Amino acid sequence: MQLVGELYERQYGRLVAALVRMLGAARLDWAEEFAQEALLRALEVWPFRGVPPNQEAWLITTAKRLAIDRLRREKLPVEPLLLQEKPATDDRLAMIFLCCHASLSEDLQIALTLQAVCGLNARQIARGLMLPEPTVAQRLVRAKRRLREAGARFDEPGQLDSDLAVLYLLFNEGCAVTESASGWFHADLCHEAIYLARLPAQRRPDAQALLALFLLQASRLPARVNEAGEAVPLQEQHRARWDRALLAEGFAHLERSAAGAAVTAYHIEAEIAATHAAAPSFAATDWARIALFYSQLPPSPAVRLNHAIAVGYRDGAAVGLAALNGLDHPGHLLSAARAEFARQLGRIAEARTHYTTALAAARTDA
Amino acid sequence: MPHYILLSRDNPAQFADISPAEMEALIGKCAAWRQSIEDQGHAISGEKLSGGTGRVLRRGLAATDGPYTEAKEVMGGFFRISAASYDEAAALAASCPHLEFGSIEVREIEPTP
Repeated sequence: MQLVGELYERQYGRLVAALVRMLGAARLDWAEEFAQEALLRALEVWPFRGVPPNQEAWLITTAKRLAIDRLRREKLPVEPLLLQEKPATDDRLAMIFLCCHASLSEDLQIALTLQAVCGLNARQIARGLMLPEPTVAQRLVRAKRRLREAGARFDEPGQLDSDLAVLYLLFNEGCAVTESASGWFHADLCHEAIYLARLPAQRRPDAQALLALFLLQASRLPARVNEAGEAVPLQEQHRARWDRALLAEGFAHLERSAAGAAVTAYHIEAEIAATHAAAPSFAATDWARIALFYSQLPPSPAVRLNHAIAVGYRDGAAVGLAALNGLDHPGHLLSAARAEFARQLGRIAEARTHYTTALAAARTDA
Repeated sequence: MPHYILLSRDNPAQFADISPAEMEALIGKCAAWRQSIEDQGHAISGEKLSGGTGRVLRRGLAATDGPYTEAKEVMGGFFRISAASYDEAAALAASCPHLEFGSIEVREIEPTP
């Protein structure tokens, strides 16, 4: 019998979500404990007795039994656990809602989602977000305390916006970490975000646009790192290594996302990703289209920077350099863009200065 | 064909901080091992023993904790397999993934006359 790896990795999040539905949001701690314990039991029992045909059912039954034991010990009513279970997919979506509760700051939302939905422990989250482990542990404790204090309830409606935002952050973290040493983490996060985005995508065009954006971006992941584990810039990527299946799916979702009346930032970002994806080569990229889309996005330092870069590729390096003037962007990317355009203009000394600045900034970023 | 019992002792603390991916890999390995035993024409069944430790009962003595607690290894569970000889049973046990976590004792079950 072959186990499906992906399925198993998701069981933790499903178990936690199903248990929180039964036990209530205030008992998120218990839910995590029982989910962990059920998986541990599986690990102990399955090797001897063999893997059960329905692993999910086995796990939920085991976790439920643990919960009932605990409730009885604490002399609490066990009725909520005897209720019929809802489909696990809905539970997971509701779980993301809970992790993105308005009482939590973005930092707390991400940490809690990674733990309670994705099943990562504090050490793994710390590694992925490049934070000290005690910081992450504190955030997790604080997040749960705030949820309790705020009286957060499982299945509170009307939070889909922050829900999508957290998926977006999750995906970005995944992409960002690609360029760091912990390569194992990135694809997990990106694919987790894709998996989770599929749920709301069935219901909302903006979520569908977000899913399209994820798929189109993720299609490039295999080409983003070379055999030596180094990051490969877009110019030098082997486009043949882009994942065709993800691309095709991304385009399909982008098309369907046009069904709604509103054009959201996710739609525009997905269009930008699609323009890159459709280009046969870096040189043949439709930069005019990309610059236009960037100009339609709500302005932020990152959007202004990317717009200026697109303008530079559309109208030439001198125009690009002028467009970068006066921009303010934290981190190394602005200097790197200046250096690149200066190099294209043959202004080597200037390029070198910018590269040096960029390198220094990149080090502090890390 | 005679039957043999494989008694698996390991240290359960090793599983305390295992990631889902590692867990998946381990269970997959165990499932593959079982399958390979069956594919070679041997019957196999197994059970997990519950709880970490057992007690040893002796007449005239109070029950004591099982004999394995000092070694931090406990009897986790057992398999029953069929094999042509003790050596074959031992060879099959030697490929068991449980060996990564502890020891396996191989005993022949006295055949029914």
